[in-house]
Amino acid sequence: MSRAEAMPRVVLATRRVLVVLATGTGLALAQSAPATAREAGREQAAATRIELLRELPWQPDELPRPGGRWGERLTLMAFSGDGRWLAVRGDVFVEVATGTARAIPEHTTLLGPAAGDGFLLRDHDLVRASASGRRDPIAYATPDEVEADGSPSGACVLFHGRRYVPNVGDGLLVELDPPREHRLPIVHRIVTAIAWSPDERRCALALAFDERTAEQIVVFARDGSLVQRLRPDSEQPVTALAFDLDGESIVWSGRRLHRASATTGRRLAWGQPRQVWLAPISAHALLGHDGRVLTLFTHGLTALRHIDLDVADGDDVANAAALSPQRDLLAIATPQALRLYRITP
Amino acid sequence: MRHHSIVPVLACVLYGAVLAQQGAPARIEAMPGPVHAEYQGSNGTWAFAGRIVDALTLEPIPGATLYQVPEHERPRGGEFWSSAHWTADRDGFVRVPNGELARGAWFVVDAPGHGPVAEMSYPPGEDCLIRLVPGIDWPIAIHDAFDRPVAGADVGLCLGCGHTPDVRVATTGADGVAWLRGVEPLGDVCGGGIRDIYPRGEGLAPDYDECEWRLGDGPSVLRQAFARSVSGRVLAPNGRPLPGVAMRGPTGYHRGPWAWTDAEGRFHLFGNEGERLELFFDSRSYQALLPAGERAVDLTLPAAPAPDPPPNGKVVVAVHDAASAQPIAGAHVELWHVGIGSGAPGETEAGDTDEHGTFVGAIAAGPVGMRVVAPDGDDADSPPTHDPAVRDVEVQALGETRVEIALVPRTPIRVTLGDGVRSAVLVTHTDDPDCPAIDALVASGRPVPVPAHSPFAFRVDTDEQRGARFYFFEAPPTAPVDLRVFAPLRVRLRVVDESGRPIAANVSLGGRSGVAWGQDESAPVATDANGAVELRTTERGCAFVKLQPIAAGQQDVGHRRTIVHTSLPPPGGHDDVDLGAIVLPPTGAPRLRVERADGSAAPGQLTLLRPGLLAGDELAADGGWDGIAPQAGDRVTVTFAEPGADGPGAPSVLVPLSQQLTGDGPWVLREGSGTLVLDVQDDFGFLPENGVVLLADRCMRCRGRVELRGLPDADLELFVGAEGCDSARVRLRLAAHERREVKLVLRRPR
Repeated sequence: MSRAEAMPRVVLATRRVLVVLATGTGLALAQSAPATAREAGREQAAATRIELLRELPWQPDELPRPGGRWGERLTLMAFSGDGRWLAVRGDVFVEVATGTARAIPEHTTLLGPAAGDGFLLRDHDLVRASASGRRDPIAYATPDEVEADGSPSGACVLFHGRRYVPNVGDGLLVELDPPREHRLPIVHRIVTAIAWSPDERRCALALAFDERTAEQIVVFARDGSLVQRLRPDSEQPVTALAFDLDGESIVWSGRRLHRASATTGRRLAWGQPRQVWLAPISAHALLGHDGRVLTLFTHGLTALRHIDLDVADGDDVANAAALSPQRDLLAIATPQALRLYRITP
Repeated sequence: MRHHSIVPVLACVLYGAVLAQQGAPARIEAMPGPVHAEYQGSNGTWAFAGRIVDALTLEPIPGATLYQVPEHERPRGGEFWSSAHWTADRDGFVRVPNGELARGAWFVVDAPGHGPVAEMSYPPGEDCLIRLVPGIDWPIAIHDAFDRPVAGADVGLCLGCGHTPDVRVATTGADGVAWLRGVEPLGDVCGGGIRDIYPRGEGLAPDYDECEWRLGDGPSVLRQAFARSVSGRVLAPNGRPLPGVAMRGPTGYHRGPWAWTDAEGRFHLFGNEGERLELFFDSRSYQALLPAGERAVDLTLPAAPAPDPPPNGKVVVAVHDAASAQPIAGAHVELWHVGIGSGAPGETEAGDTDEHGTFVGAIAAGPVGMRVVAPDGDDADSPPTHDPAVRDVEVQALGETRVEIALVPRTPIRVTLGDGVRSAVLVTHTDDPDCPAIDALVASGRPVPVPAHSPFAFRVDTDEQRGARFYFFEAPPTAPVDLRVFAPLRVRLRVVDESGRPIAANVSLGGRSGVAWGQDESAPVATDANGAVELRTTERGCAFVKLQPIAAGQQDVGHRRTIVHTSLPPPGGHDDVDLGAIVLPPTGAPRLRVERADGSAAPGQLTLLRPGLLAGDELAADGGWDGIAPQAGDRVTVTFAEPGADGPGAPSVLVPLSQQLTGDGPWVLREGSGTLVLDVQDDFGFLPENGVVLLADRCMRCRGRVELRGLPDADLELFVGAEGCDSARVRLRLAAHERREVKLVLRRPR
């Protein structure tokens, strides 16, 4: 177990001061031409604007907060394909423009986005549904008693073991149109994070033996063939996992942040500290949060800017996040409210 | 008895002999027990049955052992344990009766001369075939946080979480290198892939590391933070020495490290970061806080688990500069009551000094540890201006206890950062792993405060590597320090033909993971008129040089591309390396060619296994292998592209070509042309449930009838099994292009 995961020292007070910079303003740019591509990329990343668009307090009957501390499922929130709607679990559609919440009539489970204003949901069966009431059933008999999460376009579904209930549900990747099943060599493991390459040619899964012990990160091609497997750098399960926009490399967080080739496993970059969620927003920048602070990172995984999520002291932290397919909207579920940010690269 | 034991064997032999159509008849014998049973599947009384083979020779490994391993909540580093074990028979089969299963979620497989593998939840391997690679020796270098080699440190290789045992142990020599003997460092051949290294030693933090190592790499370097050991005695409430008390520091969930008191109540615990100690006796647990300076302590356990803390005493801490005697404002003061604690708030205290350099606090009276840390420099996360100080004091319950702390100012030195440095941090002899960055100080032209009277180091990071280079100092230097990354290594070579004449080629370099074409090469560089080229790289250790001949106009290039596996020297002291002349094979003469059974070129995927290396790539259009140069001993496996081939479980299976290379090459491997059709049923006439056919390291499903194609003209030994049945061994040799049908009747045990 890493030092970062070690128990606190005898005195809990910390000397370190969190540097919190202003929200929504880019750092001052150097006037001279950047000397290296790295510096140019850093400047482009630094120019990213992150503005709080709206904050919607949780209301148990109208806008229930998704999940507990770590969430009971992997896909707790998702934007529709056109980015106009946000689904919170399978309970509510939120219109981004107005903040209006619309309850989903049937009890469903959110699997992910679908094209247009749609989402991939699961009640007894799979269905593509929208806030306007459209419901398109999918002719595929889903396995019972397993978790399911969709790909960014809703074209594929990954079925896997129930979270925190090992030994149930082996890996199954299903292309939906038409249904084609690909068995994954995952047996008796739980999945703690899933990432898809933007073109959906590959997916990556963070596997764990149990809720305390990470096993590995595996990259699969869409046909289910194993592409690469990597060891995380700590025993704590990985929850922050994402593909870079070119689909050729993945980033994840263990003790530190890492980037590695998705095909060879070659380590490409590193950073720190641990994040619980990560998502690239451009070729130059990533966003991540550790439950309390939202951080803008360069492509080289150095922290550029911090935004305090205003989470009170204690164990209850931000527990879910979603990025729109256009990467211009970010939703974060803090203990107090659903926060929507607009991102301008 | 005799009747029952012989009849099924006779049945098998008769069927086999009668139905063999040409060539020598198949020799078939019954084998008691299963040859294949998925772990805790539905195979009657068997929890598992599988076969352990050598991954290179594919020969069985008699005597190989499958261990069932429980997790220990309090693991002892350097020890191996198991709850049950089973030994492979002369055919490599290991069988686990349900009744023999013991406690433990992990399974380890080991054999003399081979690298052990492990898996959680079920035995390692695929389809109950466990492939062990002949073990090689893996060098592990243990360095301290200043990057100095540490002699006498123990190193353990653990294949699971830290609650599972070390499977190999070694001790570092004077050079700080320990050799883990007989291991499989890849983790890709069989098993779960965990290869965690746990160092244990005086003054070292207990962090483990996940190391990757490939043939050609230098020692895997683990740089351990500083963490002091603690020793002492644990006494019972009546003062008697207490044996059997377990303890650990606040170092994590899985591995500890743990220590136990001996018969005299004495203990010695490595790698204890901070001041906290957790003790466990029977079902009792205690929290102890240790002295700040002295690391030997007697701890008396209270009769009741949560003693009331003593009454608070007032503590006044005055902090000043040891050189100027000026008070220091903003210094952080931490106090803790030493001994077995209750967790009550009064047992710890913390705060910052005021503008007069004074901190006033209240803490449980008695022995108290104290740490005083100077304020940060001008920037948060920059090094403090003074060395921290620790003190152990006796706090009185009445009146106030006054403590004077003189912080030694650090010495400012000038530092510059060279190109390619992502960041630099100051490493001091502290068990605080958060090393302060010096980037902001350097960028603003300000000096960096470093310890005046103790060693320190600068750690230089690059974009790709944390700790790419260290600069160690026994004392502050008088001259400015220029921190630079290591210069790129210059790799020179010549590309020639068999006659030594230069060949025009593009040359690139792949790191340890660039074992195939298209994987992470550096930008290719063209050879000059002499076939010479110089590459620059930051790669070290295992690397792959990729040479692609360049066509001149419409001419055939005349030579094949090739990949050369090499080992690049470690940084520091070697700035260039000459690989000499590399000969490209002629176009028509690859070092290894694969042909289909009819002699045509073979589109397919080739995998090459060598201990410490696993390479895979597509074959060239002419069936040639242009990957790393094969050598004798390599196991080569070719999976042929077969459009429209049946999937797993289909009645017809094209068996991959698999061969261990012998001799000097070049090699021509030809797909086998034989076909074997097995018709299997049990002696009640049922078609098999979960039937399998095992051939070398392949497992093929069989539900009654299965056709195996691509079999070589060689002695074959197959094993056939099915749920609820004894198994059969089939030995035969097929002639070229022979198709033979063999009917098998598997006996159900009565």
